Amino acid sequence: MLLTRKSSTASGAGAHSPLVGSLARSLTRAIPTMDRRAFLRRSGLGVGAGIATSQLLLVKKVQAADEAKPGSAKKVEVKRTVCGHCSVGCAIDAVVENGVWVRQEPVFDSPINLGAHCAKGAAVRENGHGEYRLKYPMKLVGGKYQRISWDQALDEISQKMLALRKESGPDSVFIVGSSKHNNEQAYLLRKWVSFWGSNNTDHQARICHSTTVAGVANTWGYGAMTNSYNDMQNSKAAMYIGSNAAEAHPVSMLHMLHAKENGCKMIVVDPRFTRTAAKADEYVRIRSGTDIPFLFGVLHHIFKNGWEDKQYIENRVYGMDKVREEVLAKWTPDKVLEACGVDEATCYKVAKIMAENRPSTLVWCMGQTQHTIGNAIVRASCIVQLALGNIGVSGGGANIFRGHDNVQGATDIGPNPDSLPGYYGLAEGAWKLFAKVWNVDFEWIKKQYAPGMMSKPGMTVSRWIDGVLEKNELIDQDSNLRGMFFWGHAPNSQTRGLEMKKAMDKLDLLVVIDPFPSATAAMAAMPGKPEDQNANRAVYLLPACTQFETSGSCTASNRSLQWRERVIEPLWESRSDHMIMAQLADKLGFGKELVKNYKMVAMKGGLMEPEPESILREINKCTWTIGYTGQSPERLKAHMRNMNVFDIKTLRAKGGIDKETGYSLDGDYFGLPWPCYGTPEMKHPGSPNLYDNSRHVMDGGGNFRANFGVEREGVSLLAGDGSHSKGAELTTGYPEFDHLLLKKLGWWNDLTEAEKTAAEGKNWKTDLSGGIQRVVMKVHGCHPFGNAKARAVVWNFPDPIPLHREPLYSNKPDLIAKYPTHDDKKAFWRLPTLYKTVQDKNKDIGKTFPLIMTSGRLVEFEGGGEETRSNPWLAELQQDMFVEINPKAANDRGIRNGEYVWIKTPPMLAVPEFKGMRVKALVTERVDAETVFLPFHFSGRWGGVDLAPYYPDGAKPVIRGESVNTATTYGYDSVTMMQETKTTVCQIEKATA
Amino acid sequence: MARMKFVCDSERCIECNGCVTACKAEHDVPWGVNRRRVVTLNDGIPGEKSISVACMHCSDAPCMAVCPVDCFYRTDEGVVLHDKDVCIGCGYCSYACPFGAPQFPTNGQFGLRGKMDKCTFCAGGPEENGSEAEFEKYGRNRLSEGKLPACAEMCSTKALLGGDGDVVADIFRNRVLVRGKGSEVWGWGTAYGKPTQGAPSGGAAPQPKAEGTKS
Amino acid sequence: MRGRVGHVMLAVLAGLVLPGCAERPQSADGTARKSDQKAWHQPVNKSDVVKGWNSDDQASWEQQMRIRVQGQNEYSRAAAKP
Repeated sequence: MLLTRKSSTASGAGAHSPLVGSLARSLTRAIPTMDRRAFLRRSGLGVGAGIATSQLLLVKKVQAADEAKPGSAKKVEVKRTVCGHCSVGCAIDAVVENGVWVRQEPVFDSPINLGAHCAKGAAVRENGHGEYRLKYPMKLVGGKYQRISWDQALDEISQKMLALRKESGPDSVFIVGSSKHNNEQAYLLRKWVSFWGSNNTDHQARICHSTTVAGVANTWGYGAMTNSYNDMQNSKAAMYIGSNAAEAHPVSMLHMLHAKENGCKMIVVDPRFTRTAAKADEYVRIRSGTDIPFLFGVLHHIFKNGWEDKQYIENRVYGMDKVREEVLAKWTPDKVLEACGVDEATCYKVAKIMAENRPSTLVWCMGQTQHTIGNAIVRASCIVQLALGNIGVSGGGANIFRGHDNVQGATDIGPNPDSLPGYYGLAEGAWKLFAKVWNVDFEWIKKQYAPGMMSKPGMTVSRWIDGVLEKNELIDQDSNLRGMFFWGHAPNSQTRGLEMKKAMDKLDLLVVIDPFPSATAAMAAMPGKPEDQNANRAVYLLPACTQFETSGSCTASNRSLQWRERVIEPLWESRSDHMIMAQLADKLGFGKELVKNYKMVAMKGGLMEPEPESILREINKCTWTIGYTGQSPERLKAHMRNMNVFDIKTLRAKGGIDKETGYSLDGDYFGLPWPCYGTPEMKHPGSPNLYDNSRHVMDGGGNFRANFGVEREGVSLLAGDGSHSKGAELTTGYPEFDHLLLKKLGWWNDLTEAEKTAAEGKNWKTDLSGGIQRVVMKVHGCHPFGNAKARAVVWNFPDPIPLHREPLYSNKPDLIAKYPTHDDKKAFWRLPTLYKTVQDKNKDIGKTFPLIMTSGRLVEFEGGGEETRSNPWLAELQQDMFVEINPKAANDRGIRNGEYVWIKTPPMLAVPEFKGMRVKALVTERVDAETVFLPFHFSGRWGGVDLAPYYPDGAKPVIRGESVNTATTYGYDSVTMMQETKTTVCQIEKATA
Repeated sequence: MARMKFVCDSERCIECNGCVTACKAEHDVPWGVNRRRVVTLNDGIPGEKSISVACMHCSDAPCMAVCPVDCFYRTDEGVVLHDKDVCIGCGYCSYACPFGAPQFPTNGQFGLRGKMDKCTFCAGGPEENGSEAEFEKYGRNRLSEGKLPACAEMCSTKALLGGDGDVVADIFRNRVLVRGKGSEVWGWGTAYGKPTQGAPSGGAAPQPKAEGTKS
Repeated sequence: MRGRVGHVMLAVLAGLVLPGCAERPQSADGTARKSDQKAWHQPVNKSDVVKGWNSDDQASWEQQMRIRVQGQNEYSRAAAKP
């Protein structure tokens, strides 16, 4: 019998509406350019089997929690936290029902994200499930991970460490910390490593923005984004060069697209037509690694047309005349075209847009930083902005987007091999200052170190493998590295993966402390070459909490600090990183010293840990250089509770009184963006835009830092007459403040008696009372770090004026001849570092590896990707590792869209058993015919082989793929040891099997 | 009377998939079921545009018209929902739907999300509002909590708008006026009348205002 | 006593089995669809409900919807440039 349809709804159903027709037409048109997602979704439908079951179980889990307390009402709490992925700092309200994180709600009040999230942010609740996480401590026994107890793990690890220390000294262990630690944990880890007695520590910033931090700080003072995501709403033009914000910092695009809607001109310069480029008014394609030729090509037109801000340069910039000479002579349009592939008209157009639409901002990320000449590229960007007078100006600035939620904070106060927290360096004076703050004896710390090593910068995370593998006589420390801690860091984010496997096998001790340690775990467990295998190697995995299971502050890219509340109790057997630090310190014999200033609090199971608030208070007491001193936990928490009072363009609070504490928010900038000088009581509002002399210093204003002396070769480095922050008593340039200058100016008596005692013999960075800062700023309106010029010429760097140099692996021998790399360096961050040797040896490499290989982010994943690939909601969206290849390059190789290909690169020549990377081809015009692009978030496949059997049970990410770092090549920045990931060479062939 | 509508501003959509995972997380949508997805045209070449697509909660819904067991209904505020206990999972609605909104779970987890699953405009289904039964079959009911769909509320660039059609139209119109273009967004002409200015870029002629678009 | 129980059982069984024999309505005129509660009827668990409107009060719910949607409009916090 026929089922009959209700007659009333029949009318019109048969005829296609115009809308349907239009959509159908659009979809038909869409097929030739199938998008990444549709392309990838095809294959992996089966991957999710089993996932649905687990999700059903989650619902049940909540019910179970309910049933546990019969009769009692549901206990629902809302906890405010911050997304743990990129550096935008999106606030999240987590809804917790009887201890289970059941929902997440948008925080419309947040001035930073206004409730908005990208795929990662909208999916963070999965962290509250933690199904694919490491659940308990494990040890590698006979090639398999076995569960062990925390006590056993801590005992064995500490015994191994002490044995290594005895045999080979404290520098034989390398501790890689994390940009995913909160500020308190990052700071505590630097202290922990110091008490262990080594500077061999580092974190993600090395391989992300170290070149920016060094380049920018040496140009004008601080190594950080000058303005904010929000301030970009005030820009009239924006140039993104080396940033794919639409994928890497999606919520930043909310502010940019708002600005664009209001007339801001958007330029994107990139070797790849990114999703950010798709939103731009002007897209410029350059050859990977040729940012300097392009930027100076633009600058050429700025100078030629007199568009530079002459008054600004006169008052605030040192050395621009020399740059001008070089740019006009050297970077003529023909040279620019030859080097980067951009013609004169385009450079002129970009220069004109940037000059005629001031304030204009410049945005960069890894596209500029991850090169052997990264430090020079970022300085070229700084120079363009200085020439246009765009720094220290709302709407202008160098908007440098950082990568992780707390990479800025970890850079500022975390585990860095060349500095104590707050960029104090490693000189004896700095150690003495910190010994005082830490309330320990300087001589005791000194004894923890191997003789003479206390002031010597450690190795970097980018080179730890060489610390293991390099000949002992060539390294600048007694022993090679024998122990390695990955404390919240992926292995697949560092280049030269094939050599890393070798290094991992040679270690005596490998400890991975992470909620998702699995990439390292699998890599360590998979069989390597027998001759590399250290028979005594011990491998431990310790489950750490995520940031949702602890509390603390994190610093967003715009230098704003936000306080996270603890959302849930630690899952499974995981423990917070600071708890693990304290417990390991106890076993290693410096537990008391580590936590003596902190309040200890009982956590799940009665386990004690240092209270994050009291760690932050210690940070407040010692980081005067960068103004992490004013952000007390109380102020930060008041900001989190009252986000609605902050303006989204200026980030400034208009009125507002915190109900809980009575704290007046009026005038504060959201998150007290550092520098927030002085004590919390001084109530500095934070600095929304650095070096902005249109504001009073107590209003967050400033000027360029006097950090490089007062004169150079007879030329003053101090700011010109009349150039000063608003309301300053000194109306010309001045050096940084110390007790002598205060006395000379007659300001000494403005200090209280107690402050005088503390400030005697000290300067603005070392006066622990904050008195010097208070008097200079609050009483006299001056800047404690002085008032100087920015440096267009950074004379202490290898290339004082940024110089283009071809990458070590380039397919352009003619350009290598014209723009050769540096000479080799003998002992650089304790290791010999090659430049010319490698480049010369490979100058014809383009014959065998003709394609330029570059890498970057996908919106769904972050970093090494284990965490995000363990999240089913994200994993489903990107199920395969792929390579973007231009139709021409693909056709020449007989490759069709969606087919598997092998990617081969030079390092694989030395490892014949490694067949290459087997990935899918995405044939697209996003890349040009000589460039291919690979995402860097995958791991878990190795030369075509699935590493699934080597993962610890139950801690395998949902999606695995070939890791791009098995293909990347040698090459390091000449200042910071940043690795080269953006420009190397490869060959691609169709996979037949 | 409010009539709920989604609009996606292709000038703003950056294909970040925030809407997709917001939906997945809010409703515990199983792997393989996409109540919402982002569609990109001209991927990788100038002119690339993305929009986020889900059930459009049509005023004259084809799914509703063709359903052999009449499991669909439209709520007073214009949300198209269906009763999963009545649905037989035949797929005829999918055939009729121009947007590919109806989803058919393939994992064999019968009862998990019924035979057919689709966007509910975060309005649950024909069970008690906010009940466990409603959550297990349809997901959360945000409307009855005084909230709007999670996808639109969490959109990274506020490209996807969802709410009372009149207000959404005002928000969007304001943007179009400020930037001077972009009214060519899909469905705009049909849902809200003639574009403010300029012709749709899709090549389709401006659509006359459809009947029944304002309640 | 036992007999009466048996009768009752039989009756119950019949009640359960017999409707299966009847022909179900084959046209969709009378739908089997359940009716839904109004969107402005708040769930029992009030902790998830945004404050500021009353259950079963359509007007206050509609007002709440109009306020809430402004969360999707950053212009309501940042005015367009003049």
